[in-house]
Amino acid sequence: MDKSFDLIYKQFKDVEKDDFQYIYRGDITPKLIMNVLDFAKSNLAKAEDTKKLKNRIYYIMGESLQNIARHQVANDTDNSDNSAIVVIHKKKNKYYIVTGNLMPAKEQDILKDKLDHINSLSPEELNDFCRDIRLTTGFTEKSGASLGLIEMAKKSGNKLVYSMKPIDDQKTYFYLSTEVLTQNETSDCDYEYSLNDIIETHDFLRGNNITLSFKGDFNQDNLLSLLSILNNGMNESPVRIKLFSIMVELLQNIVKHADNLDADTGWKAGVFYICEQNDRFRLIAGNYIKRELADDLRKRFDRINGMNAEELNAEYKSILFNFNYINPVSTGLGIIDIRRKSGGKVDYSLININNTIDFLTVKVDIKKQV
Amino acid sequence: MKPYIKTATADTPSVILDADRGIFEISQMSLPEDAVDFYAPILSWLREYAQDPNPDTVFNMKLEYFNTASSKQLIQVLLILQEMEKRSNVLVKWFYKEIDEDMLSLGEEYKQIMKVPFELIVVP
Repeated sequence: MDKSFDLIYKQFKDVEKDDFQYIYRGDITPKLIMNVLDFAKSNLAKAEDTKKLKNRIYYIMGESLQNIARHQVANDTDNSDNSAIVVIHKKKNKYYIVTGNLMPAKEQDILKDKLDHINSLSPEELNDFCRDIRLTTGFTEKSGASLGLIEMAKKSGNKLVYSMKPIDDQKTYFYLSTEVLTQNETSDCDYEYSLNDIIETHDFLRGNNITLSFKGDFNQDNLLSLLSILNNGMNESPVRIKLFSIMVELLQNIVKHADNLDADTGWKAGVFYICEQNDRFRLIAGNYIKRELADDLRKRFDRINGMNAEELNAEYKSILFNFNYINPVSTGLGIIDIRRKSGGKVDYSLININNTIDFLTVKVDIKKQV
Repeated sequence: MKPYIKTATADTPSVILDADRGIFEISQMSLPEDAVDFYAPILSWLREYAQDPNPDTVFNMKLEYFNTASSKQLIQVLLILQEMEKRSNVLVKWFYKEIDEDMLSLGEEYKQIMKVPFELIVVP
């Protein structure tokens, strides 16, 4: 079997209830910043989090994104990755915001000193430092950048964790991670966060040309946010229309049918990726399903993948008019619709997890020239 | 008959069913979490209207997108209109954007499947 399916499962499997991880890889534009903030909003809206926490998260996100927009360098060579990365990661009641971007290598020591200095200060000292900068330098572009970092440190209540990965003589990839202090923090939390995990995930995304990644609990609200990120990030075109409709079917499939490994079945664990290659987009969706449904589902995928255009249309028509169609495993028209719109086969895999659960991954390619 | 009006949301369409003004229209996006639930009042309004319809019924399908769950409900809308044709001059106007070939081919398919006057109208 295609080993990339295993890698997707590996990325997914640590997701637990109320965790989520959203990652965007690409250019940071003002529009994108608004979209990411909206996304954060829709995922925080349902959470137990207080207004104060939400404000902190918005603030830190806003600062980090502006920080990237200010410092990202354009890459002149095509063979290295110049896209920025934005991560909102929630695990065990803790929120982490990570951004990454290319920066000029010659500026890295100055930035390092600045960050180390900020991290060495107590909250009171931070306040003093902030005031000193304001008084001595006024609001120049440079001081703005420093103030941004100081404010992030103040709002997060934690140290600014960072990492610098040299790309070549000219450029360094700079990661900045902020943990957002939550009120109901429990000391017995056994989760050890590491920026290296995010950097590894970034390598996985880069290696698979993934530009958008979400894993966590899928619901109609975050589905709509993911769709609006797609719509706002691309101009209206036949390929965007296809991506949109195939995305709806894949994501609603997770919202409706996904299972999980918990006793609590009230949430829908899933993972979703958008990949962009030169000539095509690839959408990947993964979720747990009940083992007892796997055989029927496999048969259904194989049957629909084996159909020619005429047979697909006939099948579509017959299900469309069958108002008593009740099938626990299939989305009814979903797989047929995806096949008809993408024009290709729907690649899938079922990995057995335990006696009762399998992990389903579905991959759909959509050619850019339709 | 009391009109049935729904304002569009991010995932549900705008609906205007108004017999007095002769406006019958579904527009924008249709990808509700529960399509059966969303379309139930629409179908029941149309079934009642179909008992004693206006002499002419022009139904404007102006959806920019609908998911497969909605398509099963829309086909029921079309079936009601098809049945009503004995009592009213029914015309279904299926609008699609010029760049939206999927909406065009769905329109062509539904036009072929349904036995009801069906017009495909391109909009820029």
